Amino acid sequence: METPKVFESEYRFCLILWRHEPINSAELARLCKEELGWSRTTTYTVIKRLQNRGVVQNVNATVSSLYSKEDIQVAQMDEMMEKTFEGSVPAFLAAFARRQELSQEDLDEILRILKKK
Amino acid sequence: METLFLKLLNLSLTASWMVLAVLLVRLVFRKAPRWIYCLLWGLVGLRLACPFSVESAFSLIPSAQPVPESILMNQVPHIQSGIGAIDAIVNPVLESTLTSNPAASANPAQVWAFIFSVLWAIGLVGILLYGVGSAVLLRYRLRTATKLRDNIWQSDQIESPFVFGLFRPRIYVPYNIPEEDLPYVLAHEETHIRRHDHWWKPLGFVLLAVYWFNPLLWVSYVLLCRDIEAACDEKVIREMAEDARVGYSTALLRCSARPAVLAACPLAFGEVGVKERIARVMQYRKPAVVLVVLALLVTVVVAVCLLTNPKEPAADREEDPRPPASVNQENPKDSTPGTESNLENAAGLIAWVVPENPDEIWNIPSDLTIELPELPGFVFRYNGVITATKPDGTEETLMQGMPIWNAYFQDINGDGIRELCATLSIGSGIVDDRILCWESSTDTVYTLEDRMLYDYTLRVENGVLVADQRRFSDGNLVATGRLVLRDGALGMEQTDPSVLADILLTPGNSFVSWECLYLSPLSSAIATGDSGFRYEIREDGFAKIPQAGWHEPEGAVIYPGGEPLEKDDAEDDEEDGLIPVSDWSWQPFPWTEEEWAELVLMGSESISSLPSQVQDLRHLPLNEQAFLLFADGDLLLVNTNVPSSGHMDIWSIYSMVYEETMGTAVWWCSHQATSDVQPAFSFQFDEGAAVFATCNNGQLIDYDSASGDHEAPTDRALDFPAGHAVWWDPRNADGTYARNAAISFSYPGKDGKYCFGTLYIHSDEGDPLQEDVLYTARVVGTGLHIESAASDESPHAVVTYTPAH
Repeated sequence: METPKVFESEYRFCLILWRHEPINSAELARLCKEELGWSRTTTYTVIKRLQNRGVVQNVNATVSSLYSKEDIQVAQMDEMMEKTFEGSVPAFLAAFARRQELSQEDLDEILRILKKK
Repeated sequence: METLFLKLLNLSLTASWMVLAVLLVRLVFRKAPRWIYCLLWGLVGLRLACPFSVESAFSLIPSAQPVPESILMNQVPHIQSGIGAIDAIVNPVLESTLTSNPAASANPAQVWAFIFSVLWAIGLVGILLYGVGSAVLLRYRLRTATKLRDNIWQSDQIESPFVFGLFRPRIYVPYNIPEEDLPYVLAHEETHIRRHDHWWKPLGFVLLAVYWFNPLLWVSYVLLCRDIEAACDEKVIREMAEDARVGYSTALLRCSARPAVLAACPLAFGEVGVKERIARVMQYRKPAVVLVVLALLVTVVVAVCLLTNPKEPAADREEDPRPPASVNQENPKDSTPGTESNLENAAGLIAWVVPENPDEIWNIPSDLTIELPELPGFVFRYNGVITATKPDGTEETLMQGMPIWNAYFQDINGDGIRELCATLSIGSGIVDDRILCWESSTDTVYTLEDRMLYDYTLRVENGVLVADQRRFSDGNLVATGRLVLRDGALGMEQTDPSVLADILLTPGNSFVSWECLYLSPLSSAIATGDSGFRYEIREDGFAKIPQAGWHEPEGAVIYPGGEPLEKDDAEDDEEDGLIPVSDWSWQPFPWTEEEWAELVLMGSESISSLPSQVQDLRHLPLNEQAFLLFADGDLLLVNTNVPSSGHMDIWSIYSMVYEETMGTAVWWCSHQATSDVQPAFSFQFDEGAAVFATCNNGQLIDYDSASGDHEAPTDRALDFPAGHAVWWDPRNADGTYARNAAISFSYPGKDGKYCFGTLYIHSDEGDPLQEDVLYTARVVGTGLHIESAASDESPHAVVTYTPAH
């Protein structure tokens, strides 16, 4: 199944959720107010929206995610790869490497991920 | 709502002048700091937002009220843009399209004003809804924005950074904004907040929504948006190190989203005009103090000249360096738009009492006073009537009418003192217009009037008082000329005979002959002033109508000496009726002087040398047997005779006069005779001259009113001794009533010459045996005029003869 699309604001929300899940929705709204400056209704709206898209579930006012942080990151990466680098991993790596210094650990991690695939 | 709309229309039109000025300043001071532009736009906004304005003598606004509110009420709508050329173009259009038809229930100007104001309201509501709607939508989309710090928020819903919110403005930036751009972007947006641009821009939008019908203001709004951004950029980089400009420009470039539609403009800061802004940022130099001061000065001038309304005309007059007359005028409006001005001109004209609208002659401001420098001590006052307070303190009514239409002062007798001239309407039921003129040296009021026959009205043409003479019966203009007071008489001086030439040919004009200028030696008729016909100018032709009673019943017309007068054979042979004329326009006179002299063989000197005597001689062919001539204002009818040889001869030439100028007399013929002479009608010739008269119908009675003696009618021809009136009885010997009659007469005129004439009497309707019937008598003959006498006493009508000069 295709990982659903998550927008940037929603991703910020998900970051909070992943840290605290499972979490009571009222508590989640309080945290969003604190960290994102969202009103309660906005938080509920976003929960509802992500619920509809199948990203999170809300059972008895307890919210938890259906996708891991990595899933979402990979999906976002895929989308960016497709959009910006026309699906070419080398092009992406070249751009990525030029932009920041890669440590040996970073390179090892990258190789590990690539091999796993 | 219409009134509100008109008010806004006027505000918008006056503000347009300001917009043009701001555009001009922007063009001239291209290097000026942009905050000055913003200041200028603020002035435009002030002009638009303030329903009233201070008056100032320095105002350059041509007219504070280009579209007067009275346009809703006036029968003939006018605008007063303050620019003659515009008024001259627009007003005729308004007149032709919006002039109210008295029969229709509503004034078209009102209807249109209603339609336009409804359209305006729809537009206003629509644009405001759009503005509010897009703001609400944006606010909804920004709900999920996440707080970065303080009032800075990030959103995935937007493409470029902006400030949003009226009272707690927040800066919104996209998530993906490059880190290194953020300081510049924030500096820019924070500066917007410090400049309170988040108030000015929505304010501009609201004004735009109110004045949406003015395209200039749309231009203004777009430019305002640009100038706000540019001013903001300037403020940012002024407070920034020089080397930071590249970074700032890069940030600008990266943030430039898709070209901002006006849609994004209302309440948010879509970035506009990026290319120019980058250029400006890179080239920015602190503007020279001189330039700033100069631009500020211009701003002040714009504010004073265009933020204020022009002073009222009355005030203008006081500042006129050559005040010829102190005018205390409470009428604040300009005078009749497009025609004349309240200001005096070189000819010494003062327009004093002038209706705002020529069609609303009742609508004249009351209680006006005026003094003339050449008449110290005189105070003229208009308050429905015109009175004059004289140096000795007495007050005298000079003119009264119902109403007095207008009043002017102009020297029309050449004595260097202006005369007071006015148009008045007199009478109830039968109202006629006349011109009155008060001359100060004689303290006399002169009148130009011809009740029941002509109306005379005053107007100003090229600074000169001009009288228009219109026929009472149909309102046709018959003459126009400069008003002159000469030899104790008020008259008109024909200024342009060419105008008269065309006036003469106005359809509906009817003429009778006045003088027979030429009669062919072959004719057996006697040249009298009466051709026996009346002539009418019609759309489709020239009608030649036998005078009622001239041809019937049969009966010789006898003149002194008992010789039977034979009627003009040539004219009898001609076919009566309509001569078709397709083109009523004058042609050049087709003959040389020699050729003409040949045509009028044995004519008098004045006729044979006509082409050399007359300056303006024109020709209008009617048919093979007749043509018209225009000779320096006179209309001549020429009848020709084409013998078998084919060589044309001129048979007769008659000068023509308007039928009305000969005059008429009317009386009711009573069907119940109460005396010997009833229902007869009496005519007196001059002051009771001895008259020889014949009639062809009815009977003549010689009735000595002094003694009561009268002779039973024995003949249709009678000699009336001096002092006796000529009585005409419509009853024939057999008891029938004559409905038409021609009374030919001759008597010695004041100049010793015999004058000849014909009285044409007719009655069209009614049965004289059963009811009272109206008879009309007209006279035709050189120098003659007929008028009903003032009283019912005999004589009932007076015929007068004025010898030719």
